[in-house]
Formats: sequence, C-alpha cells, structure tokens
Amino acid sequence: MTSLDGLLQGFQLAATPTNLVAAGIGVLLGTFAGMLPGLGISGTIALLIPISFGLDPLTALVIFGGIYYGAAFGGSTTAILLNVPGEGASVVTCVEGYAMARRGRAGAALSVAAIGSFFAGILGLAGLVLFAPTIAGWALAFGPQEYFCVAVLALVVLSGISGQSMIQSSLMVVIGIMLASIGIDPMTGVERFTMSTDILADGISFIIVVMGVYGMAEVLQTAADGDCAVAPPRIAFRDLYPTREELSRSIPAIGRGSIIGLLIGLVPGPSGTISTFLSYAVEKRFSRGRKQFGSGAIEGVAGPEAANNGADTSTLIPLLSLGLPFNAGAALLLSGFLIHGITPGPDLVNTRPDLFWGLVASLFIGNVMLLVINLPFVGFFASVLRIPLGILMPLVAVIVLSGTYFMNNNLSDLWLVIAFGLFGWLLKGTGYSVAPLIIGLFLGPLIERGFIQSMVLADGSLITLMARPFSGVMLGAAALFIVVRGSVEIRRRFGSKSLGVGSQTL
Amino acid sequence: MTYLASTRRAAFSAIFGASFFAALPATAQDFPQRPIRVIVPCPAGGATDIMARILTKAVGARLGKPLIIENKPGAGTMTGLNELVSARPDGYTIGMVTSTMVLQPLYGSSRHEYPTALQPIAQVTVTPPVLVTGADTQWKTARELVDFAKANPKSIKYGITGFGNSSHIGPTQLARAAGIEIEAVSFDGGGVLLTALLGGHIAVSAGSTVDYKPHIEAGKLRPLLNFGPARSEDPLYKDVPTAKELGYDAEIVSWTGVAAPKGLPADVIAKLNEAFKAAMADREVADALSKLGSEPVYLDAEGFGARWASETVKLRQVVTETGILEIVKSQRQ
Amino acid sequence: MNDAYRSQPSAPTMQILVALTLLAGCSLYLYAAMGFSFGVWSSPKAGFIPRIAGCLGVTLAACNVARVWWTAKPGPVDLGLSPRRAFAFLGVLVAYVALLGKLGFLPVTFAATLALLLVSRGRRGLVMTLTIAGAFSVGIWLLFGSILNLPLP
Repeated sequence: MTSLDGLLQGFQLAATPTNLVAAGIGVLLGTFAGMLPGLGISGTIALLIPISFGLDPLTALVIFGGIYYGAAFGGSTTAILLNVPGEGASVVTCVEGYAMARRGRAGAALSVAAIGSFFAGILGLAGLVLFAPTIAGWALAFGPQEYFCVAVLALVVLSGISGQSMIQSSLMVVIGIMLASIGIDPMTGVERFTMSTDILADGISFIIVVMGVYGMAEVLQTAADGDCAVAPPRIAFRDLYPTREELSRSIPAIGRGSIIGLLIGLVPGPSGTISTFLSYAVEKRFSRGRKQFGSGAIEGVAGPEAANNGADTSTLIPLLSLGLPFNAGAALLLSGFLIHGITPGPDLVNTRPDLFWGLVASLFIGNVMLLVINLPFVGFFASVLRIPLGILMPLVAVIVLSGTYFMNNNLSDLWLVIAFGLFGWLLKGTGYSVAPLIIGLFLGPLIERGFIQSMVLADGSLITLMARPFSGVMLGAAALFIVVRGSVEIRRRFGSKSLGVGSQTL
Repeated sequence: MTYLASTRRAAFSAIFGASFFAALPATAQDFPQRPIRVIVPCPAGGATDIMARILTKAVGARLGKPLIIENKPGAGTMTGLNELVSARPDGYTIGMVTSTMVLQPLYGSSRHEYPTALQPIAQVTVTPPVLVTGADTQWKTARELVDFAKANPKSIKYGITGFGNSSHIGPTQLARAAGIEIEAVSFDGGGVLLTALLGGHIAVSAGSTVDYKPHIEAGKLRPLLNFGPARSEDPLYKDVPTAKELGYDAEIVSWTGVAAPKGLPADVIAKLNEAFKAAMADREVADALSKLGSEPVYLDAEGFGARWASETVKLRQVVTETGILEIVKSQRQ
Repeated sequence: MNDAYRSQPSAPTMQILVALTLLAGCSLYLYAAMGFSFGVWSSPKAGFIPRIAGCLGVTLAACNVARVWWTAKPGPVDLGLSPRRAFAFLGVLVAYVALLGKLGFLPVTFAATLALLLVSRGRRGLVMTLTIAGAFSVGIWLLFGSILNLPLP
C-alpha cells in the first residue's frame, strides 16, 4: 500500500494554505478560461508561465492542475447557455445542453455537468493512484495500427448519430475529412488545397469550424428569426437545480460516460473530444431518455461531460507514469514541470515523490473545489439567459470573434469563423446536420496519419493489419456496422415510403 | 503584480502608439522607447516558448523595456516566421527562430528565403539529435543496428516528426553512409513518436536529447548514436559515439536563436546584440536554459549569420544527395 | 445577392442550390487532389486520402443532388423569418474583421457592437443600445487587454 502512503504524504504537502489557495485560483482561472471561447488552457497557462517562475514547483503545478480541470469543465457553461463550444470537448454538450437551456432547464444542465465532471474526475484519480503502472503499460501496447482502427470504428459509429439519411451524413463526414486535409500536412510537409493563401496555409483548425458552425451559425439563425425567436421561459430559483427524476436519469449516464472517458483517455490523441462523442452516441442509443434526444435530454449532457473529465484524468496516467503527454492539455501541464527543470518520466514517482503525490493530491482537492465553487454559481450563470436575445446575440458574436483572435493572435482565423458561420447556418437551414461534418473533420487527420503509418509499418499489406487481434476486431465491427446500417436504411426506404427524411438537426 | 501592471500599460502604448512612433527615426540612444514584441513561432508552453520567456525576462531587464511574447504557432513555425519577415524593421519586433528556418526554404515550401530575409541577433541553444532505441531491443550499439539492417533490408522502421526535418536527415545520412535500407514512419509530434518507440512499434528514432533524457535515465531507452559534430558533455550522453567517430558521414544539429527582420538600423542591431550577449553571459539564464535539457551555446550575430549561410549550403547538398529533396518533392505531382 | 434573398426563395430551390454548391465544392476538391501523388499501398503519399475522399465526396454529393431533385418533399427549410437580417449581421461582422487590424480594438468593437444591436433591436431604446454597446466594448477591452494582458490586434 505504498501508493496510499504516498498519497497521504501528498495530501500533507498539498493541503498547506498556500497550495489550497493556489488550487482555488487555478480552478477559477481555468473555469473562466474554458468559458471564454478560444482562450482555453494553453492561453491561460501561457499567461501564468512568467509568474510561476518565482513560485515553488509544487505550488506552480497545483495552479496548472487546477487550470487543467477548470478549463475542461468551464467549456460546458458557454456551450449550454449560448451554444458556443469553447473547446472541442464541449461540442456535444451544446447539442442537448443548449436545447435544455432553451427549455428553461439551463440550471439543471449546468449542475449535472458539474456533478458528472466531479464524479469522473475522482474515479479517474482513484485509478491513477491504484493502477497507474499497469494501466500505463496498456497504453504502450497500442500502436499506430490500433489508433487507425479505433478512429475508423469511431467514424463509422459516430457518423450515424445525427438521424439524417445515410447519404447526407456520409457526405457531411467526407466534407469534414476534406476540410481537415487543407493546409500544410504535418506528415509530409506538403501544402495542400491552400490556393497559396496565408489564411489556409495553417489548415482549418477544428475549434474554428466548431465556433463557426455552432456559435456563429446560432447567432445568424437567431438574427434571422428576429423578434420571433423563442425566449426561454423565466426560471424560478428552485428550478435551477436538477429534479429528482433528472438526477436519477443522469447517474447511470455519468457512470457510462466516466468509463468511456477513462478508457479512451489512454489512447494517444485528442481523447477528450472523441470520448464525448462516443458517450453521446451510447446515451442516444441506450439511455432511458433516448426518445428525448434532440430536444434536451439530460443524459446527453451528463454522459459526455463525465466522459470528458474522465478522459482528461486518465490521460494523466501516461503523463505522470511515463512522461508522455497524449493531448495538448497534458502537454501544457508538462510545461509546468519543464519550467522548474523537471521532465516527468517513468522515474518521477521515485525521484520526486513529493511532486508526484503532491500533484495527485492537489488534483483531488481541485476536483472538490471545482464542484464547491461552481454549484453556487449555477444560478448566476443561468441568469445570463434572462438577457433578451436581441441584445445577447450581438454580444455573443463579438465575444466569439475576439476569442477566436486570441487563440492564435491571428486575424485570418476570424474570416474563417464568419465563413463557417454562414456555411453552418445554410446547411442547418436546409436540413443537413453538421455533427457528422465535425466528426469527419476531427477524425480525418487521425485516420490519414494512422493509415499511412500502418501501411509503412505493415509493408503495405492489409492482411497484416487485420491479423493484429485488436485492430482486426475493430475493423470487423466497423464493417458490420456499415452493413447493418445500410440494410436498415434500405428496408426503411422500400418498406414504408411515408417515413420521409429525418429532419432532426443536431 | 506591479510588474504586470506596468507591462500591461506598456503593451497598450506599444500597440496604440506603434503607428505614431514608427515614423520617427530610431537612434541607439533612445532605443528602446517602448516594449519589444517577440514572435515565438511555437505554441505557448513548449520548450522553445519557455526558452524565449527565460531569455526575454533577462534581456528586458537590460534594455529597460519589457519584451512581450506573442505566440504565433502553425505550419511548422512558418506562420510565425512569415510574420517576422514582414514586420517593420525598427527593432520593436524580433522573434525566436529554430533550425527549420534553414531547411524549409530548401524544399521550396516556404514563402521567404528565411536565412536572407532575416537579420541574425544571437544563437541561444544547440541540441544534437541522438539515435535511440527501446531498452529491450537486441541492438546494443549503432554497429549492431547497422549490421542487422544490412542483413534484413527494409525491416527497420524509424520514426520521424516530418519529412525533411532533422529527425529525417540524420538517419537518412546514416543509411546512405552505411549502405543500408531503413524506412521512415512519419508522426505528427514528438510525444506520439515517443509513445510508439517505447511501445516497440518502431525500432529507432533520432530526436532531441531534451525529449529522451528522462527515459534514458529511467532505463527505458538506449542511446546509440549522436548526430552532433562532437560528443555531448552531458554525462548521460558522454559515452555515446558520434556518427563521424564510427566512420559514417552524418552530421546534423538543431539550434534555437533570436532574429529580426532584415533592414534594422545599425545602431539598433548593436544595442540588441549587446543586450542578448549580456543576457546569455548571465549564469542564471544559462542555468535555467540547461535545466530545460538543451545546451546554451551563445553565438553573436555574425557567428549566427555565418551558421545560417554555411548550413544552407551544406544542407542543400545533403538533402539533394540523400534523396530527401526528391522524397519531399514526390508528394506533389 | 441581396435581391435573391429579398423574397425568400421557395424551399426546393434553396435545397437544390445548397446541394449543387456541395457538389461543386467536392468536384473542385477532387480536381485539386489530383495534383498530389497517390503513392503506393506500402507508402501512401500526400494525395492518397484526398483522392479517395474526393471521389467519395463527388459520388455522394451527386447522389445528394439526385435525392433532393427526386424527392417531392426534401425536408424543411428554415432560414428564419428574415434571412436578410442575418445577412446584415454578416455584413457588420465582415466589416468588423476588416477594420479590426486597422483602427484598433476599442473603437471598432464599439462600432460593431452598436451596429449589431441596431440591426437586431431596431431604433427603439437608442440610449439603452448605446449604453450597452459602450459598456460591453470597454468591458471586454479591459478584460482581454488589461486583466488577461493579451496582445490586442
């Protein structure tokens, strides 16, 4: 039980007044950064790097840890209230969360998001304390072939979540993949589809498309609706928190979401976002409230939010026990170590047990603080919705644009956000769902890289790829899914013509 | 906090005042009158960014005006470099540069010829790539690896972080010198590559000493070969032979430095050079930089510029001879 | 452009327009993708995935046009009651971005917020509109520039 001893020691180090204050500051800053579209973890940590030079290494790490968690959570707030996802992982939260907010259940959605994040975070940390070395070993067993197959399976399963016709959703996925291939290819260094413009040279970043087709498109839609836009019903104070029924529906969703997140977090890459999509797909198919999806089902907020935090936490396992940052957030947490001349590696727990366990303990503390600080604020945030839409939306438009600017300090990104706002508005208006497009955009690069790497490693033989047990199963499942979905579609087409095309927009 | 407040005020006057002051001729006596913008072509929080932050703090103290970092990541540092090239040459915009600025123009993928479009100020660090393999592989030395590769052509796959960069050039030079066939697998980042290397999915890779250090210390990776011009002084890499020692004609180093747009007034250049020279001579700065894992090796503006010129010539020859230029070009039709 | 939206086009026309635009986009992409080499299976090159995606995209987009064309009721069109207002929004935002780099953050943000509020609220409550625009633009200027100390355009 040495790890529990270590943890106790860590709590002693992390529970000093200075470090507690640091954790509080980190969590608040992170939540705030997550809420402001575009600022995100990287911007915030960059702001703090100069200050943290002067701090004790553990205190600096505690702040960074707080930001890491806070930002993962904060993104859900703007997603639920304004349909503006501050980061990739809150795209899915937009869908059901914003629908709930329009129904006057914003408070419930925000609370459930906080509770789900908390639960998944604590579960992930427990996993980190108890099984880190074992689990970290699994993460290494995944090679490029496995990532490729996971991405293919995810693409196939996820492209079906929108409920439109198969042609439409496949088309949207392919367009997403096309958009993703624009820019300088990181693998070959070749400039593709940029038409030699500076705007496109750096590629179309995922978050910019997301801000465009969700946030900006919503602004345009509301503007077009004008005075007829439906204002959400006024909410009484007691309605701010989830009802017993909502809670009892959320709990299983949080459980499923946590497990999905914890597992996906071990796969290198932007696991937070993938896990939210997968959790959404699972909830939509299996949860008690699946009929309500599209009009604000609480499971669609609880599951993905838990998955996101679960993934963010289990990504810390390879980071702390192997020194491998699997996503951008973890890489930034690593910079907290780098500043003080410590590179976390497999030996961190032996060479600097104080830092390792201190950080783990402070992550526990940070998670608790996140919940304690955020639940009381739910009412305050939800009151944003009392502002009439005619005033709110112009302000949102300006915030989205300035947030986008601060992401890369680049004005050309703003043109893209506006263009994708128009694109998203027209697509949604004519009955296309943009969710598959987002999924294609997100998974496209993973699939392309994974495929090229796998093919070089396997000397161009598809058989070798299938022969690996895990990848074979994944590819088989993907093929099966396509066949089943295709046959269902054909039966629907020819079975009953009256069904028509699903119009549910996501 | 007071430091921050003054920075902030200064930042505003920098931004709003830029257009008014720019018209005035700058002389060495009154340079700098306002904060200096430092373009870092890498994302915040990475090694280059932290290096820049350590350095700018020290330089700012010497110049009497703060240096403000602006991260402009993207397109393999080209987004930031392009911005630096087209910035007004008045000394109020400088930037961090890395060895990719010499390589990218060779492949014809960049908008500018960076070595001629930029004004060198100072070299800050040097890191030679080392060739490493997983600790549980059968190759104990570089020789054994070469012998194995000779016996089993194309069976060794090595990881690179992009076609044509230093992680690709080193092993390609080695393969050519040793007459072996090994295949490159491209990854989109050092972290992913390291994961694949530790998991045994690729056999070897040539990367920065900074990234590999903790894993070599922990006994998970084994260094085989140093691609630098001489052995490293770091005790961890002291016993790793250079490629030249083993008789293979392969040499490549990565470096980081500071540059400005071409056309700065001479006295401004002098003032900047002096400030960076003093900062690099500072023990504290050197310690902070070496704690990051790279070797602080200062070169003055002249020496740094000479390095750009000589490396451009040398690397042009290398990428042509090794066929890397051909590989990069063959992606297009 | 404006004239086309002055009277809302009938739903099927809009559907066809969007479907045709998608087809055109995919075809352009495929055309550009042919400029990159395909490579071989054992070493796929920069054009491998783009060409496959391009071919798939063109096929699917063509099917999509056919679907819209042949289906009597291609699904609902909902571009709001007054799409013109959305285009006015777009216009203001485009002007905002164009001027942002030239005139400085604060004045342009104020002007843009004011213009957007005027579009969405009309002339009523002009004082209120002015106050909101002023307070908001100064607010985010202070927030981004001073408190967060970010470099402003």
